[in-house]
Amino acid sequence: VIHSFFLPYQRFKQDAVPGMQIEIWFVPSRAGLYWHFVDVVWVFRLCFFLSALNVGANMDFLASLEQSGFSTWIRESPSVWAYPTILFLHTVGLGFLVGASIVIDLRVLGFSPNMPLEPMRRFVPVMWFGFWVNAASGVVLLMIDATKMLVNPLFYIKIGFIALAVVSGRLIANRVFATPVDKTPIGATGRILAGASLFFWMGAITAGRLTAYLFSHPS
Amino acid sequence: MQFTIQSFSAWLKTTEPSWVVLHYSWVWPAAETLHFIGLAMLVGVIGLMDLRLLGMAKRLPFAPLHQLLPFAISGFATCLTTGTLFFAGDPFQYIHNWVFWIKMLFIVVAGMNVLLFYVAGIFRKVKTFGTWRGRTAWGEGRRRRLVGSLDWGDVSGPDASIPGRCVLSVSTNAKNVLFTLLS
Repeated sequence: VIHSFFLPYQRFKQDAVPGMQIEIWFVPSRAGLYWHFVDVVWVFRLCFFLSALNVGANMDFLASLEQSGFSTWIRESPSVWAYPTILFLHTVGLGFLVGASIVIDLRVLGFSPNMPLEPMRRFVPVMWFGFWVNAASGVVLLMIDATKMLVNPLFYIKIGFIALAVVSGRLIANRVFATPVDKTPIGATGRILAGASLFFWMGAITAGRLTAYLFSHPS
Repeated sequence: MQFTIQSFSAWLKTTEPSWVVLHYSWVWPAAETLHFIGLAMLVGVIGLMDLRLLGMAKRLPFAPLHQLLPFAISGFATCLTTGTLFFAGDPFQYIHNWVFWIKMLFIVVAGMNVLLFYVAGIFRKVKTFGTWRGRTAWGEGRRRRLVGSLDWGDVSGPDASIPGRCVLSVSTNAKNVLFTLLS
């Protein structure tokens, strides 16, 4: 099998054959922060590593978490206050947090340019409310399915996407919720952050939904 | 009635889309993902409009926020399309579930709410909210921009409160409840 080492931003590519040593070199001509495909692969490897770690080490702990009285009641009770309520809260939180993020991102990307950004600062507490509702309901959802979720790399990918989305959301907030920004056009960085924020939220939703379908084999 | 829905569901199971939804294992998860993304778009835009009408972020003019409505509509269209796929794929899972019918009921009520918002003249009243000639919110005075300052000041006296101020907001919450209960 021929493998390949590829740094697209550096316009650099070298094929490799297992067992054969090849020396490579290149001269970087421009400084900057580049997101290489290799890094993405390593992030995904980290997610798989974290999930594998739990299979070996913590399975008994996860099982006891999952079989606790509280978890069992939430999971198996026919009461509407058990699983349906937790799932309901998780969706409401998603609506508040991701919904408001989408609106702010769209505004930063240039849709509805007459809308002043500064008053939208008032919606930030609403977004944090959604975040904490989802953190709390998420912990419960995690507990009742611990032996499956914590060994599923997609769960870590989801958490990674959420972390990236929250960081980019805060960077956007710092950038655009200052009063003078409505007088000056939003720069390319702000737009890239808004695009990234949308991408991260879509990624979090996708990874979250797929946890129920992929890598969900009983262990 | 029961017979009609039963036979409709049975017919639905024989159609091409129904077969596609169940035959390809990726269709259902992909549709679910899109269903949630559509929900976020719908609830995001409508929810912020509701919060604005309920009096949050009073310095935000309503009209430009309302310009994002196409995103809410496309979110709803996404949910409607993917929701139809779910129903076509496995109608019998839904027709015997009373929560599904309550969800449908709430969506119809929400639709009537939207209709009321535009037809009953509420939109005409609120679209100047937050502008220099409109009021800030229900039951509040007009606001005038002070010359040479970023400050806004409420100028005239309180306005009679208008019935139905919460109308738009109820719809979103109801939709939320039911989207979740069903998923």
